[in-house]
Amino acid sequence: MARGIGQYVLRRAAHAFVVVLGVILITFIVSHVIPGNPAALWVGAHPTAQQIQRATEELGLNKPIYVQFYIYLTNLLRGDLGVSIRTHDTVLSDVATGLTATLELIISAFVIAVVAGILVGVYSASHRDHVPDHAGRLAAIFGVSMPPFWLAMILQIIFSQTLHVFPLGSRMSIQVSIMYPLKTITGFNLIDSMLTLNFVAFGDSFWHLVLPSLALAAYPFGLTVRMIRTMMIEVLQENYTRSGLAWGLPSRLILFKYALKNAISSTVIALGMSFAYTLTGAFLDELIFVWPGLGTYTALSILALDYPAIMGSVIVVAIFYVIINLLVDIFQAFLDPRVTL
Amino acid sequence: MSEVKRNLWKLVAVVIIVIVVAAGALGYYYQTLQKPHVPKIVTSAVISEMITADPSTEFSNSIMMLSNLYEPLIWYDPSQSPSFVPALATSWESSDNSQTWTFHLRQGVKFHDGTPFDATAVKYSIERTIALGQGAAFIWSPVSKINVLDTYTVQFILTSPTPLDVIASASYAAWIMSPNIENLAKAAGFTDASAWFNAGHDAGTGPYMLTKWDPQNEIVMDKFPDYWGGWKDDQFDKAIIKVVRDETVQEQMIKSGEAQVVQQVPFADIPSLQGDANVKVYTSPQYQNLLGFFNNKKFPFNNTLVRQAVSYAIPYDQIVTGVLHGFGTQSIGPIPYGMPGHFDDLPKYTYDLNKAKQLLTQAGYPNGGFKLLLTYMTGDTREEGTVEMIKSSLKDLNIDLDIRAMTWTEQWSLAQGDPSKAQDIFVMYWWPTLLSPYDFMLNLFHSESSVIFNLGYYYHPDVDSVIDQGYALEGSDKTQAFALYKQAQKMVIDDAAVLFLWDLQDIHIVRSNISGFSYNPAYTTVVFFYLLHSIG
Amino acid sequence: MNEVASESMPVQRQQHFREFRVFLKLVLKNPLSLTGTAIIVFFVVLALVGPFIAPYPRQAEGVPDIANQLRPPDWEHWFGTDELGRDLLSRIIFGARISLMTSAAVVAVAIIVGMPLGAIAGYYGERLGAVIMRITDMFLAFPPLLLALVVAATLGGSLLNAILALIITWWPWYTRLAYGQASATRNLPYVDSARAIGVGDAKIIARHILPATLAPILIQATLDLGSAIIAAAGLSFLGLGAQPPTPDWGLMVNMGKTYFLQHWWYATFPGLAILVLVLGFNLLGDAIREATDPKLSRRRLI
Repeated sequence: MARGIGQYVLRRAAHAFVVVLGVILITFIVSHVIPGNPAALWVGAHPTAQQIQRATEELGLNKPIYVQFYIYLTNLLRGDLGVSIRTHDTVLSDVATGLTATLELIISAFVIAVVAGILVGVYSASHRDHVPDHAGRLAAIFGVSMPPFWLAMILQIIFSQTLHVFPLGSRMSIQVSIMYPLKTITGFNLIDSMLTLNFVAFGDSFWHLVLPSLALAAYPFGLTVRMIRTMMIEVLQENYTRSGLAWGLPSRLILFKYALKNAISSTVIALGMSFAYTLTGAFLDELIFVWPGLGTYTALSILALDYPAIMGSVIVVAIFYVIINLLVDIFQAFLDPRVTL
Repeated sequence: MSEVKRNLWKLVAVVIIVIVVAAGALGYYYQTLQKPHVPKIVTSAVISEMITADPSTEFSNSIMMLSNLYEPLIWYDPSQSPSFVPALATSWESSDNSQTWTFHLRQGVKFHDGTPFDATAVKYSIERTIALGQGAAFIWSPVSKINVLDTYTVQFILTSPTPLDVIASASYAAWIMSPNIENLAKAAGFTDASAWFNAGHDAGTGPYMLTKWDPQNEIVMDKFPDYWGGWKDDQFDKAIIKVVRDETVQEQMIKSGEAQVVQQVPFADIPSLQGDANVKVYTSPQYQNLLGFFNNKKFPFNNTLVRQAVSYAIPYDQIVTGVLHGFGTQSIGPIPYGMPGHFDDLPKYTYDLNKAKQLLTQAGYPNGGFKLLLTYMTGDTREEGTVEMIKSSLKDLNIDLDIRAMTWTEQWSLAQGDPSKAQDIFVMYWWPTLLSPYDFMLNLFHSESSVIFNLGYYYHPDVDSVIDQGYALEGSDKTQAFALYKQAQKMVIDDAAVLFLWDLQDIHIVRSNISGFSYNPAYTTVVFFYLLHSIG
Repeated sequence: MNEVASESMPVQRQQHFREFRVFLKLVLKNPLSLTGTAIIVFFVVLALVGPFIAPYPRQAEGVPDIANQLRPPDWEHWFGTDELGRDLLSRIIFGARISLMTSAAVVAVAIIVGMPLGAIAGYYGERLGAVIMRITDMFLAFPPLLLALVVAATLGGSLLNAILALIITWWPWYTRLAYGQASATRNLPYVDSARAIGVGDAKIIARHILPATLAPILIQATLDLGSAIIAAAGLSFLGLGAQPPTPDWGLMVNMGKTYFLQHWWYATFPGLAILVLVLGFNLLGDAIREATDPKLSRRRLI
């Protein structure tokens, strides 16, 4: 069995590698259809003709397209993602800076979604077809149907503008970042502030995380509730019918624990697959909460047609996505070896 | 697991959680008690990010920062008379033919790195800027030689009569930097001064020094204690420029006090801010206007009558009150209100549908019937509102206007291609690099061999010669020069070369506990933090 | 042998009908799916009739009324007005048509492109199938909205380009679904017998494979109609979809965002419209999925 899984992993990994290559190619083709003028973007507001000409040469834009692609690939293998035409920084550093901010947001959202989702899902399943169940299912469907950017704004209107409870955006307030400066170690504000015992920064960062995470958590919450509820119902039914007759009714608690364990593994799979959707939801979420993460960077790059930045962000995000999918596949193969055949 | 053991574990878990939370709360409280020395900080929120920090080549948004770190020879301040104010030069004079300029420099000034300021530094700075040839370096093109006459006197020899005072007070490419930058750069391990600058260093004489450079998010500047202007107690020790790309967040920040100066809020919300006692709204002319370039080389706008007709079909007043909410004025000619060279008595078009229809009929198209393309900048709400109003209004002339939002580079590419395939109306802002009407007239209306900013392809040699004559005289005989500029303006207005839409007003909102703010339109978007004082 | 092949067809069709009726009853009995259907029907009717009942139809098309700009909801304007004074209720009504047509176009074309591709890949298998699926996987590797964003940005913001971008993003999902079904179906006995008598490949695909793939695809399509609306709204929100003065819901939320601090209605109502319509599709789709696929192995959840 172990060898079967090993082979499966290798096959899937090779498959993933080819897919990533395809992603790079597709993105390159798409982003070079750009009717804009990257050299003009580089040079800035009121350039002269010579400045644009010089920029065109420096950026290698006058070479034929397959040569540009070859140059890009070889640089990529060295870890050089190019220089952003908009920010004039290396794409690698831009992406690295934004990545931790975005991950902190996504992870917080997932934590909320999973915890709330499990609670609601279990509650729903245990009162199947009664009012609590309908309420739970409705909540789940609301979560999945919510336009993420709209939810973000509504949260802002209610909790920030009207009730003045949470801030409108950013990762930290300016005053706190000056008076209690946060040392960047991992890039995750919550972790860094804990490591440096900077309690005020922790509280401030936490407070700034609340609204953006809630807005982002709606969709995975909906999925989780659905998943948990379905799995639990299934398992409960199965076990109840089977063992109920043979051994008499087993204790509800043990049944629940068993059901939950199975449900959680499916939830992990579901969350892995919703990761991509949440990632793109994060783009809009970040723009609305002026969160300095990868989402803002990618959105700005796309809107400015900054093709090295677009390529870099898309590739990084796609690689993440592919890896997560790979892990989910492997996880599933672990649970059900039949899949490997 | 037995009942007792399970309960014991539950108890332990609860105790641990309580201890952790209590410790956290105590730590928080203790930290706030510590109350670190709070410097006087002023935070300004801006809508656009910065990119580079090299004073020689910077031609974009970093002016917000550079103007607090560096100083030019002369400041230009239209609120003062005379408008040229001594900065690093205390006095200056030019020869009769405006081709030799001599500047007498301020004494006792030091750069942030300790080097004393003198004529050698001026020569170094300008020569470096010219040598690098990027950004706005072209403003120095008339300079043939710079001579150091003595420690505090520097002389410029020009190839043609030029208003060098205008150039020396420009907001780009006119900054004076320490001659030591290459050494500083190498010592810090950089290949050259450019790389050193763009990594977040400065070498100016200004009141503030660069402490933190994160151009996508925020810039932090600390006061330069040895600044020649001296410091008072109520001035600010630290100035932060924070990039906040969202107008509504800026509005919220100024209302809550998280930022003390903001630059852009939704115009519709300003009246309520004017009623808020915690903030003060400053409005002032801005040397920026919105123009709609007619495609002069393509039907139907190759016909002057059609251009004039459309110029009478624009609801100017409604746009100013409805889209700009009153924070702007209809343009009179191409030079924005408040800028020298703007003349209120120049002719202007008004909203007169009958006249428009008359002119169209005269041109031979009584029923209009054109299908046209207008491009504008994506994401700009003021442009968007304006072009929507234009579209709706042109329907009354039976003109179907397709309004399309594009990024700047896309629009520009389209216009630089074949004029017969380019847009019919190109909407864009213009603001000056050089504070002279010449900047507008040259870039927007002068014939060009390749399309750069004369995006209406308006090529008229008679207008060109008036413009050129004006500039030649501007250094020596400003009155005559401006008369010529006025003449050129009248020619392009009569010709309806472009749509003269509106002049933007600058809005800055400042917390009421800060005094001293005043906006200088010559240095667009700049907040001079040195001028601010904290009250109460 | 002829009899075997032709007899199983009408028998199957009858079975399909019966199953469908049972299925329909099951779905409509559930209050949630009933609500969903009602919502969808309401918006479809609105899209058809709306332009005739909207109180300010010219404003919905873009004619401004500056004097009434940014009015809060009142008796003259139930949902308030926008920054150019246009009635929001009318614009939202007109926008229903746009949203429904957009999502229908995206899903329909994605199916038309993806289903046959997947069926061919599944039927032929081996090298052709592998190549098609490899390419499909490459497109699937893009997080959903990301590819659409890049395509829409490079093509330029417009409703048509947004639809195009979303079709490019969506087709691979249907290919994969069809592929799964087709691979399973091609080994079934009646397909084998059809091949044995010499029925052409194209006929087999058209008559046996494609119908088999239809069921799961239609189920997915119901849910996708809702997702497509959100995706299109997301693109419009970034300025990459319909352009002013089109009364597109996502575009209105985008414009409303600038004003929402002091004029809450502008962003709220169009967003609410999106929410309710998507809710309708999801309620219905969820019920359908529950009714047809109670056991989950691994499935796409978007």
